[in-house]
Amino acid sequence: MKLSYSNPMVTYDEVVAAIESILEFSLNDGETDDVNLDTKYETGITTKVDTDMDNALRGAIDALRKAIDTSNKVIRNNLDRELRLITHNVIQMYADYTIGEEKRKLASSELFVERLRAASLTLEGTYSALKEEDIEDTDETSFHKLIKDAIINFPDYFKEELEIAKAFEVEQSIDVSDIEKHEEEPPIEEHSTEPPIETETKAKEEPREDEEEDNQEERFEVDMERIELLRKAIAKAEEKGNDKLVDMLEERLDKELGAEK
Amino acid sequence: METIKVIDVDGTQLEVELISVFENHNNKYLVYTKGERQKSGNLILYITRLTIKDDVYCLENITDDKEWDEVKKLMSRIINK
Repeated sequence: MKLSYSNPMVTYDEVVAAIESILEFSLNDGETDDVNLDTKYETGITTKVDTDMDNALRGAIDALRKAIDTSNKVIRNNLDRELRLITHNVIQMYADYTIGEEKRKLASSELFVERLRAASLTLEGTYSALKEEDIEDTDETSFHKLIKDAIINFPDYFKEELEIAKAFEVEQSIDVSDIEKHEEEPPIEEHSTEPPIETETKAKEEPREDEEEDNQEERFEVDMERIELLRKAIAKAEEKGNDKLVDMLEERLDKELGAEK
Repeated sequence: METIKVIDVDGTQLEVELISVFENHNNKYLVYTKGERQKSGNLILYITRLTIKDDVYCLENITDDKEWDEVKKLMSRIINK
């Protein structure tokens, strides 16, 4: 729709509709300065349209239109000029009001946010744990921590993630204890140059054949349990499309499978 | 400005600005923004129910109309104080 201002053969409502439409478009794009209205009406101080002026301009435009329709060319040119002036007044009035309305809405929205902010309660407890340093790292440990200590999650996602996190916890606890157990055991030195201090004690330390078999079986079960947990966690992560987690878990699984062989 | 990190439904980690936390009938609600603005310049706000499950905060949608009406009334009281 062309700006009615350039065409005097319009109704009052068309003028108003056009100016509102142009202003709305322009304001929404944040480009009020680009509205080419010959004069800029950006003060926005008018809080309501002056109804008396509104009626007067409406009546004037209607009357001019009727006169233009029935006038000869010379008179019509003069009336056209008059109509442009009146139309310009309408534009001025509505532009100021419309821009003012937008400004007032924005101010009220900002006030709304400020008052909500001022009235806010504080989140207690673990909330404080959610700081940059806790979640910026993406290594395995902190990623695990991120899931476990994540403070805010959307519920559906959280449900799945919690299961994965729990699987990790179980897996980790097995892993850690397993490692610790091995670390506590003194290394077996087959070619030790140190003479045995007490032959009897050394004999005690050597595992019996059946005991060694039991330990191997136990370790195998633990390995299988860990692998199974990792597979479950991978399946869940894949379901959620969490590629990063999948990659990480697959890497772990590869390591475990390599170790098993 | 206080920011918090959330994980959205797609698993994406977002940093959002915490606007407010308030309480109504033992329910807590959290208002936050992602900094998005409407074309008119208004800040887009999100409001969710805040619950704690297994010592972890969770955000839940307000789906009940009655609850939503109550929340709106409460917000109205807060901003008109």
